[in-house]
Amino acid sequence: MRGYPPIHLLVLMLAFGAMAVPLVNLTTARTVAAAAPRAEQVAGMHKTHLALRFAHAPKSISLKMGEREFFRESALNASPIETQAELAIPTDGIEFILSAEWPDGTPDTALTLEVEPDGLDTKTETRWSIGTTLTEVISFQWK
Amino acid sequence: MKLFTALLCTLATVASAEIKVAALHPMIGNLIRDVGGKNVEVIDLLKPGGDIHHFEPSAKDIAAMKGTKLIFASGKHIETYLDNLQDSVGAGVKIIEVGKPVPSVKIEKGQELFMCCPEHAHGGIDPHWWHSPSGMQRAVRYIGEELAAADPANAEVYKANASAEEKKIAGYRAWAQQQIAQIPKANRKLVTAHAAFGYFCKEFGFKSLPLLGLSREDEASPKYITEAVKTIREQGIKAIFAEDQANPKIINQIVSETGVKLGEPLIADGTAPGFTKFEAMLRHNVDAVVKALR
Repeated sequence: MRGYPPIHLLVLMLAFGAMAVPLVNLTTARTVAAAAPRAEQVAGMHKTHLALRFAHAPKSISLKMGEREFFRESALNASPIETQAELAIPTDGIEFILSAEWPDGTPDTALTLEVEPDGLDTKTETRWSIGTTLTEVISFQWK
Repeated sequence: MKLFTALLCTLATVASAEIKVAALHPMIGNLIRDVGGKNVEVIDLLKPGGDIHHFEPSAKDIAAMKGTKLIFASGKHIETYLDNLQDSVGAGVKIIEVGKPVPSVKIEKGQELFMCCPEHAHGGIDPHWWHSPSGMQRAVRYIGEELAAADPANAEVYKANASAEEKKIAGYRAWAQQQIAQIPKANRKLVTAHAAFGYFCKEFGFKSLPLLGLSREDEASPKYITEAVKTIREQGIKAIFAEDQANPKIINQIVSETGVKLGEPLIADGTAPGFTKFEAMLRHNVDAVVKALR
């Protein structure tokens, strides 16, 4: 017999190893997890539906966020009054200033503000008048 | 005679329609009809009885969409082919994902909404938003806005119709809440075949235990089934629910292991014939749930 069998065995094993490594990579099933669809992010711009409901028609209504005013041109003869706006909603929330005035003789009455950003839960807050006026700061936060 | 009259009415609608749109879910098609009225011709691509989880438009469907301005999809990733569809119909056709304004329910163990959830659905978004009356109200408004944008001459009609539909849906919600009030709070636990009732549970204050994943054909691991059986026993669940159009194998297995009552099958995907209108689906499901759990 020519050669040295242990050397032949070693060469064979090295050759096998040289083939086996890429073959293992090719044949091992790897599950690449598809990226799960993400739920809506809170922070950012959101198309938002705003609605104000009232039991008694006020003489005037003002809803402001900073310098922005909503419902400026709205007729107040029917409830609710509604509008759409693009709102920047940070994680620490948003704040509105709501003011309203009713005719003399109007009994205690309430205003409900509904804020419905696309992709986020609807939030509502109700405030009651004091006499014939109402001025309130209303905060909303989405986590 | 009735058939002739129906045919005449259909032809009249088609002849007078201002815009042509397509719907990828029969329930959405019905919503569009309610909002659009005679001004809108709706092509339903997924017919009642179809499978929303596996449907994909064929070449024939694409041809049927010729002349459409808008395609209304459910959204929330239930239609995985929308990018391809946009390529097929071209940039001139707008695809609207009607479920987009609806806050998503994410399937996550540890979330208060879920008693336990299957591993393979973990992290997924439940696409079955049509079980939520408040979600349907947002959808109706969105449909009205898009129709108004595409057909400004009839914008006021769409707005008024959408508003009327929102009020009707508010009525259905109020009815459902009154019915569900018959179920003791401790019994408001909904065990269903696939993870299709997250929005229903969130809206009406139930805890959810889905046995399968997001699709009717998903499999549950033996480990999860064992966990589900244990939860059903420990929580004293009164009844579990199979679904229309879904394989009842797992449900039947659990009924035989636990002896729990089997409620009437629920309508999950909103595509069952006779239940492609929101009111019909909601009434059926609420009646079935209340009957079994009160």
